[in-house]
Order: sequence, then structure tokens, then C-alpha cells
Amino acid sequence: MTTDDKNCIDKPGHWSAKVDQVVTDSLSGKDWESLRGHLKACGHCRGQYNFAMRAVRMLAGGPDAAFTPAPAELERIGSAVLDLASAETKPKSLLGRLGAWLSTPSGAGLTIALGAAVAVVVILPSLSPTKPEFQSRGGKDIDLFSSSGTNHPLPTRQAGLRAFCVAGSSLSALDGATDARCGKDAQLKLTVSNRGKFARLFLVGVDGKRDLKWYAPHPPDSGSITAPTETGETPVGSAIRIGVNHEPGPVRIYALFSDLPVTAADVEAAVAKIPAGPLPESLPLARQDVLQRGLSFVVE
Amino acid sequence: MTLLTERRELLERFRSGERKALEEVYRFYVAVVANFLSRGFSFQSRDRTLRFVGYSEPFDLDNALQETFTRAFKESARRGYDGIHSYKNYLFAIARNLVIDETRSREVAMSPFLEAHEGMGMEAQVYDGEEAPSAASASGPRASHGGAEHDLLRQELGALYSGFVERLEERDRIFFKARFEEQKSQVESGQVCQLSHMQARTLEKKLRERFLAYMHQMGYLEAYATQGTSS
Repeated sequence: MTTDDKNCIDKPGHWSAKVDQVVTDSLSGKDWESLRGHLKACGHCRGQYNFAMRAVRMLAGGPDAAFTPAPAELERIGSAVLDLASAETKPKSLLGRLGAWLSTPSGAGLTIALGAAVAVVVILPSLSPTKPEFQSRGGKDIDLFSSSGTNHPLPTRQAGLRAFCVAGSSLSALDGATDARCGKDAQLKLTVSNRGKFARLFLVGVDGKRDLKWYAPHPPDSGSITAPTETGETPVGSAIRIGVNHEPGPVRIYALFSDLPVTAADVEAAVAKIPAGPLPESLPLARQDVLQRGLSFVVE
Repeated sequence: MTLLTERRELLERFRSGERKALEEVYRFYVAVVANFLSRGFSFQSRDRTLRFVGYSEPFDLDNALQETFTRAFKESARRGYDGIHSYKNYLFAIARNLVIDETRSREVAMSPFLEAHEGMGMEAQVYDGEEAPSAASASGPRASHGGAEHDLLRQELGALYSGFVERLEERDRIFFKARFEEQKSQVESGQVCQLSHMQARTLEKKLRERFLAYMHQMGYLEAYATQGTSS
């Protein structure tokens, strides 16, 4: 049983209700994306969805139609695809172009005046660099089951973490700066890239007193969240108000990429092992299958 | 199946990302891409020929379909299509790359979908973006995953379906048949039993809810809890 499976049993009814809405054709596009993300990781709910979808398919042509996609199913998927495509094709604003510039190494670490802090929410989704999705592979052999497989996940798989401090009308990248600082009145925004296609992501901060900041997942959830599947940088969660639970002093943010879920208990056990002194580059996790990325900054 | 090569104006609107054009292209190709992802294809990995047997579970297929079209409709992919060669094959290539990417990154999870193609002689071809043969013709009965299990499920679903239809009152049954079995529009289905469009829409909503309640009542939707999980 995975952590997601357990979460379903701990919170009975939440995802089942979403699956029921598939049958009644009343699931919103936003809820479908949320459900889809959950189903990728939760076998229990995926099984429920599969049963429900066969019932839905049967509504579109009787029992013989139960094994081919129903029109309503294809409509739902199509709507989601078109919404995603529409979001991508919206013209980039000046702020969007500025965000794209920020994603370059030369832009990192500099503080840039922006119109308003709230605009960051608009900017960050457009940080992803465009990358041709379709690259013809011709007749070349495919090196399957190579070191990029789950048996050797770390040497060749890539992932990244970035953080931005949003203070009033200015935005600064915290990664790449040698003396990154962010005020208590500011907000923190985190983005990750997941070119290695890890399945799970855990984002946690640790301060000088070894106090933990749970960025993702949020309590009471305890298992790592589904990692973004986009190839570029993707914002994770909403902006974090630093004043809420960050004290002045050093903070290091750890992004834990894995295929099997990392739990809060794993993280707490690792933090308990950190000796006095500066925060380490990586958490001393007992597991070897986790790719870690981290960055440090000082709360002022 | 040459939508974009024959209609240059549609191609231009598609490339520029116009929503209506994307929708038309999606509707035109979604069924064949679903079929491609269901039936599977062969490919070579080093010296071996492997066969992806296709997605049979609804979520696996739905997710792969969405990912395929999401990739295909990205600006870089839209503009990367040359407008000369078959767009269907372009989509198949994207779907194929998606499956192979999944196989690379989720080797264990994807293993049920792969089988060796040893000893298949001339049948062990690589379908690089071309339409794959049917699962049964390419690799025998095993590839028609489902088999007896699907037959049993089909029987169970058939019995449940008949039971639900029998419980309906005559007007509802006529509407149900027109709307769901014959796939007529809401308006047309309503006209069959003298209902306005609004009344037809309300009746359809009620029928879906009754169907859901019935499937729960009969234990069908609870069965997943005891039958394990897919993939």
C-alpha cells in the first residue's frame, strides 16, 4: 500500500466523490486535473476510476461499448488538452518576458522591480523554457533499461529547485546568490524542474534551530506529492508568507525527488541526525533512492 | 485521414494555436490515437524487439491520450509539423515516444505492458509512427489482454445494464435508448418522447444519477476494493 493509497483510506469519500462525478458527467476540468494527478499515484482510486469508466462507457452504447472510450470521456480529455494549450498560447506580457529572462543564469540572483508582488503568480508559470516535444527518433535503437531506470535512478536523472523572494514590488531569485536574503514581510515562491521524470516530490525547509517548514506536502498529509510532469520549471504550491513560521536566521530548502514516496517521518529522522553547525548540503536520509537539491538563504 | 494536408487554412490556424482549430484536429484524430495506444506497437531496444501490448485499463489510456495531445498541441510541436506528411503518423510518433519515455522512467510500473518479441520472425517489425497491427495479429492471443476476464466483465456489465433499463418507466426507457444506446443528441432524444431541450437535459442528469446509485447499490462500484488495482 502506497502513501497515496493510505491517504485515500484516511480520507474516505473525497476522491470517490470525484470519481462519482465522472459517472454523472459533472466533474469540472479543474477537478479532473486534480483527480488525474491523484490517480497517477494511487492504485486504489485508479481501480475505482477504471470500474466507473467502464460503467460510463456502457452508457454510450451498451455493454459492448465498455471497452472503448466513451464520447463523454474523450470530451473531458479534450477540454483539458485545449485548456492547457490555450494557456500556453496566450501572448506573453512584459512581465512574462521578464520572467523568462529571470530563468537564465545571468538573470539569477538579481533583484528586479516588478509591477506588483501578485504578478509573480502570473509570471512563474511562463518560466518554462520551450523545448521541442517531438523529436523524431527515426529507426534508431532505443536504449531501454539503461542506467536511467529505477535500479540506478540518480546518476543520469536531472531535477532542479529554484526559489524567489517576493518583497513588495521586487522579485529576486534566491538560488545562485552567495548571500541570498529575504525579509520576514516577504513571500517565498518555489519552482522545480523535473527532467528526470521523478514521480514524487517533497519540499521542506530547515532553519538553524532545526525547525522544519513543510512546504509540500502540507500537514496533515505526510507523503511526498506527485512531482510535476512538465519539462520546464513549474511552480509548486502558492506563495509562502515568510513571516508566518520563519524566524530570522539561516534556512535551507531541500527538494527531495524520488519514485517511491518520501514520508515526513523519513525527513524528521534525517533532520534529527544533523549535527550542530551549518546546515548540510543534503539531508542525511537513510534512503539512497532520493535525488536531493537544495538552496540556502537568510531570513531577515 | 489527411485533414491538415488538405486544408491549408486549418493548418495555419492550427499552427497559430487557435482553439477551434485545435479542437477540430483533436476530434478528428482522437479515436485513432486511442486505438493506437490500446493496440500497442513494437520497437527495438538494443538487440531485442519488444512489444508494448497497449493500454487496456481506462485510466492508463485516458492519461496517455491526454499526455499525447498535450505534447502534440504545444507550440513547438505544432510548428514542428511540416504540413506535408501524415499528421496521424506524427501523432503516433508522439504517442510512441511518450510510452517509451514512460518505460524508461518507470521500468517496473510499465513492465506489465511489455513483452519480448523473440521468435516472431518477420512479424517482429518496428512500427516507427506507422499504424500498428492489431494486438492479436501481432503477438497472438496473449496480446489481446483481457480475454476471459473481459468476457466475464462484459457479462456482468450486460446483466447490470439490462437490470437498470428494466427498472425504468417507459418514457425514461425510450429517452435512455435514444440518448445513450443510439447516441442521439439531447434535443433529438427529447423529441422522441415529447420533451423540451431543458426537460431532456434534466432527465439525462437524473438518469445518470440513478444509474450511479444503481451501480453502487448492486455493488459494482465497490468491487474495485476487493479486486486489487490496475497496472
